Amino acid sequence: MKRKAKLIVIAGLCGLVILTTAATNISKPDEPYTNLQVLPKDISQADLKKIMIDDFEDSIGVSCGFCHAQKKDSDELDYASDAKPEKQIARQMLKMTLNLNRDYFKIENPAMGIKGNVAVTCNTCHRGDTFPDDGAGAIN
Amino acid sequence: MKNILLLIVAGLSWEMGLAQYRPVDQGSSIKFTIQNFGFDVDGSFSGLHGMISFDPQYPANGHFDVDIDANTINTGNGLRDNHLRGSSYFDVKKYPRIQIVSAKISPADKKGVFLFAGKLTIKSTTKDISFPFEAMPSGEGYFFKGSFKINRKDFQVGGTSTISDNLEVQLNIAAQKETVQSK
Repeated sequence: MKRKAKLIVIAGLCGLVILTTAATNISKPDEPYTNLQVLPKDISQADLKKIMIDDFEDSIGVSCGFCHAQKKDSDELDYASDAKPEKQIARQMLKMTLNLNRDYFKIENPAMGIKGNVAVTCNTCHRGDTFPDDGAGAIN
Repeated sequence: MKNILLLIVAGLSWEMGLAQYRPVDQGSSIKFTIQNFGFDVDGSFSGLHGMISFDPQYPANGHFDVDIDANTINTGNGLRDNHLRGSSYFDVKKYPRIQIVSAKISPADKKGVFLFAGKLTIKSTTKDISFPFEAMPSGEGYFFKGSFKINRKDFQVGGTSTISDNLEVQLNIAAQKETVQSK
């Protein structure tokens, strides 16, 4: 009988821990982004990841470190840092792409990512080529 | 052949009494700044090689023949550096060195400042170039500092792209006195 009571208490405690953890995860907001200048400031992690992976990594053929600077004294990337000019250039290209969609394809609120509704994307020119300026991407 | 020419230049300069200096990477920097999509991007080269004959008292007798290793291009982005090493940009396999040779060194209005006039060769294309530079004594050698602007398309470096045609090159060259065997 005592043993059964013990098992019930343990099971109860485990359940409590699981519920607390789950509740914490559900209510935990996405990490706040501190330096978004072109993308919406309230963008979700999932949406941002989709843009970074589908639009940037796959279309342009780069990994995170191409645009994002490294933290000082660490191998980790400092995603908020603007230390690398590549990040500023990426912003400018992103603006250009969104403007092309708005101004020439008459898409009212062009957006990339999960709710993407754009006609022109990074891939339109890059085709997986980081440097399409010599036309290699178009040939390949 | 090039080494023989260098020896002849060195020999002639020694005959004229000019001190010889060898440019070295340590303490030197060869940097460039170019705009891409309107933003400044910096890069550098190293692999200095060559010979400098220089005496601030007799600048007209001076001679610079310096080259760098095109393969050392470093813009802080490995992917981009490899692209720049390729055939459409520096084509480093075919053209491994970038060379600058003086034709005339003359004094400028300010003490310690001189005017370089000579030729810059990139990808086997040679263009006239001139710019002022400072010469500062440094130990037994000299530290030469100058900058100039060029159009990359004059040298067939890259085509039409988001990268600007014009760039600025900043030279900071440490040169150590060369020990010449006495006759």
